[in-house]
Amino acid sequence: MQFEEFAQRHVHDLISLGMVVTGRQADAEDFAQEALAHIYCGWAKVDAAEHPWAYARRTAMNAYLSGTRRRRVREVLGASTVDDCVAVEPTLESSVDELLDELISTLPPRQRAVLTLRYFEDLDVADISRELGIGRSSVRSSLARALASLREPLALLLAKDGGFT
Amino acid sequence: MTDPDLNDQMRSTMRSRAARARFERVDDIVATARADAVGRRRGRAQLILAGCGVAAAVTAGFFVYQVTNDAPQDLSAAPGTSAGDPASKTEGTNLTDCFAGLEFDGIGYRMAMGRAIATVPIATKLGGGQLTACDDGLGRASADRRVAVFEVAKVPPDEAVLVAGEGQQGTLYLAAVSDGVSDPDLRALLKRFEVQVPPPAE
Repeated sequence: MQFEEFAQRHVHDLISLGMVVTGRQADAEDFAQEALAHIYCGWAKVDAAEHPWAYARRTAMNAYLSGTRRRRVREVLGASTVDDCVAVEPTLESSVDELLDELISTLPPRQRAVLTLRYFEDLDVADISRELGIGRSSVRSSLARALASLREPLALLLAKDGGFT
Repeated sequence: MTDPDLNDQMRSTMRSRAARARFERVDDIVATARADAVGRRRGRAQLILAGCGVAAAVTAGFFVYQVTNDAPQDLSAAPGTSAGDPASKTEGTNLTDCFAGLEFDGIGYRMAMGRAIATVPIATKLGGGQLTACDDGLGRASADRRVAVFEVAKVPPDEAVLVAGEGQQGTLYLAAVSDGVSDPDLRALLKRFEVQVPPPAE
């Protein structure tokens, strides 16, 4: 497979993954772009990998976590569309979703990466450990800390709306 | 909220976040990533680091373009090197002159035209810029596209930037020049910032 073919096939996946990790379209595009640049550099390894997408995802996450994203000047044109403004009927479920969404964006990058791999990519602790190149105990503690950060505000919201028992 | 509930909610929220992603710029993203990687590979090769991945292993956060001020990394500033670029001036015709424009960081830049006259050191990658479409009236219209924009060492980005191209060539863009960049403009700018420039061709 050639890089171009791989990139065209997976750029959507990378943007989606970036969106989950960063929560912002512009950052998600940065995430994907940076990941693809790294993937291009290491293309021989990606191409030879048993699971190229897993390898690419690992590259993407590590590029994100190692802080190798460079500042990108945000382009105003096209940055905002009508899609950004969708009226949502406020329900407890949507409130929880919105609150969680906001809270996730406030978490440190590693915790966000761990959450993404756990809940979006459905990886277990061992896989996340391999993916991020960190120990299993670090994965567990990151996961525990992240969930602890989310629980309290969620409990307050649910209690306020009478949904918490 | 119990752990199973929270797990379910987390999955739901993650899917919601992913569902907000938009994909209208995927071609630009792939193209810019590729150009970016080519630039990094080139720089790293010149640092004899043998391969794209090595630099990151040397030290976290190592960006090849950030060390090029002091390192012998050059990228030829080959103004107007793209033969098919619609930015060619149409002197002697009734057609409108057409200069491919670059928008970056709120500044409009013009491509420096002419033959390659200098090799300029590149510095930090500044980010992504937008090349704007241009039609020279001969049907050679360029499309809007995103490009990687680099600082030229010693030259303030608000005066000139470099857009990475293929191979060893980049294209120099100068700011605040309304009618396109002349050879004297380019030479004056490069000399001002101590870039060695050969004498004009006879």
